[in-house]
Amino acid sequence: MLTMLEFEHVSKVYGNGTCALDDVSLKIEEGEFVFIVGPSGAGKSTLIKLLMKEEDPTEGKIIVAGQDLSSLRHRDVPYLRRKMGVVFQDFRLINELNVFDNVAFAMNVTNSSKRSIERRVPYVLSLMNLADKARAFPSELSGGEQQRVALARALVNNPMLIVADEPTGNIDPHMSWEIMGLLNEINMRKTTVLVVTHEKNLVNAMKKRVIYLEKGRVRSDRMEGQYSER
Amino acid sequence: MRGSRFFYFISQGFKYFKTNKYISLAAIGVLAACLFIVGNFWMIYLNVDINLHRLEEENQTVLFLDDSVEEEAFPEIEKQIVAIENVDTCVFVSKEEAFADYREAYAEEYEIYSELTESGINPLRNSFAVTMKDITLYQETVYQLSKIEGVARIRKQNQTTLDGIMTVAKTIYFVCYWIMGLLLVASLYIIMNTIKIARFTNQRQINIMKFVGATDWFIRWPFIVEGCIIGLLAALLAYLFVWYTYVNVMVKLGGTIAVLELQPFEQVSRQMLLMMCSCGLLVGVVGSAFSIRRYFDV
Repeated sequence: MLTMLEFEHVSKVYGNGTCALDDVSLKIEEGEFVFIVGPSGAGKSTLIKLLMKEEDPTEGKIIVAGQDLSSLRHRDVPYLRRKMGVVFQDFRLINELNVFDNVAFAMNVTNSSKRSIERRVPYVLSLMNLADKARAFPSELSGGEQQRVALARALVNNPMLIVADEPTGNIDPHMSWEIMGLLNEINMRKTTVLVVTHEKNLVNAMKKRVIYLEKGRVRSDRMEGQYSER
Repeated sequence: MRGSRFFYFISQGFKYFKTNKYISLAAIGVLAACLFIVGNFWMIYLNVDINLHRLEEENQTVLFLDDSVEEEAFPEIEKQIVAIENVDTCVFVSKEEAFADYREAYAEEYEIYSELTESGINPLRNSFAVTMKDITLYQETVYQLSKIEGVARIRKQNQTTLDGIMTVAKTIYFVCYWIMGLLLVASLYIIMNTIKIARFTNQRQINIMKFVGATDWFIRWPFIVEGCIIGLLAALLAYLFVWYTYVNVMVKLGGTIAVLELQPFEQVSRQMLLMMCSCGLLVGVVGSAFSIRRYFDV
């Protein structure tokens, strides 16, 4: 099995002296579903920033799909990001574009042909139960629907890894379950899923691997773990 | 670049222009105002330049050869004259041709010429009529010509007027260059800042594009297209204003200055349009491209 993601003794200290991550080492295999949990300031967001190469670690090594990020040049970062699909708490949809165009946008960026966009986007939208919303604009959708559009956009380029940063933070509990169900389905298709969340109930119910971060360090890493495990 | 991608960038550029229409219009206004001033100075520059060239063509410098110079030496002297960088044309005028020219030019003094012709005397000298490429280098060139062996005398024409015109022309050139340069830099700065304001509205979109794996150039191209649209529209607007001002103000005022022969606008319109569009495009494209750089650090 391919190692999808590896952090080797990674530390990140920001310019103001804040130590966001302190000697973090973890390994996530291809096809895993992993929750990253922990209180505010635990270093979860920094972990995602490092993974996306939005920030560089102060120390240590990060390997994503066999690619050592420290040797990655700035101009190659977009190609790394195309291997991942990212979902954010605030959805980050373009309000001026309708659902179809928001999803197609991610394919345009990767130089996909018009034909493949017209074939792939409706398919992904139907997977997310959004086929009838293709012409709607984000402002006309509920929070849950917007998050499903974001998920469709993350999926459309067939990424190896889905990174979801608090994907249920802005939606009601019922929709949260639906989003988790969709992430689980995506994972069943062998896509690695990494979810950063605060939602204790969801984590506990999903019975997936849980990595607990606190004060920038990995406090626990358990298979079929619980949110509060230490 | 694939065709479909090219059209994607063009359509995105128009979309950005439409989305930021008020700021885009402000940018067009500022740039058009700068280009209008640049254009007027360019018209002054062109007219002075054209007049100076006319003067160069009209102003022949004649090199009279010493009587002792043998005919065989003429080609060598011509070679030396032509070798001087600023010499444009060099025509040999034999003393016989010169005599015939004088006889034709001063026909009323026919008696003198006939007497001289009868006695076989030609008081004129063999000469070379020289014109120069750049009249501002007149003095230096005349000095070089005077150093050629066999040249007895140099007839300089309209020296006082020429010196006066050249001083004025040099001053106008200097002022035009500086004002045009400074205005272009200033307009670039203003455009960059104006477009930067527009970029705030696009910041979210740029951010999303970065996260879904867009390359910097994929993000940059539509903004460059937007810059082109702003630059071209500003250039066309400024061109129309310069046209109006030139025809209605400058030509009328210029008519009162006897030495200056103002060109009809049609004669310089293509050159002006080309200059305006080049400056507009340059400022629009550079301004746009640089104003989004800071958003790439994501």
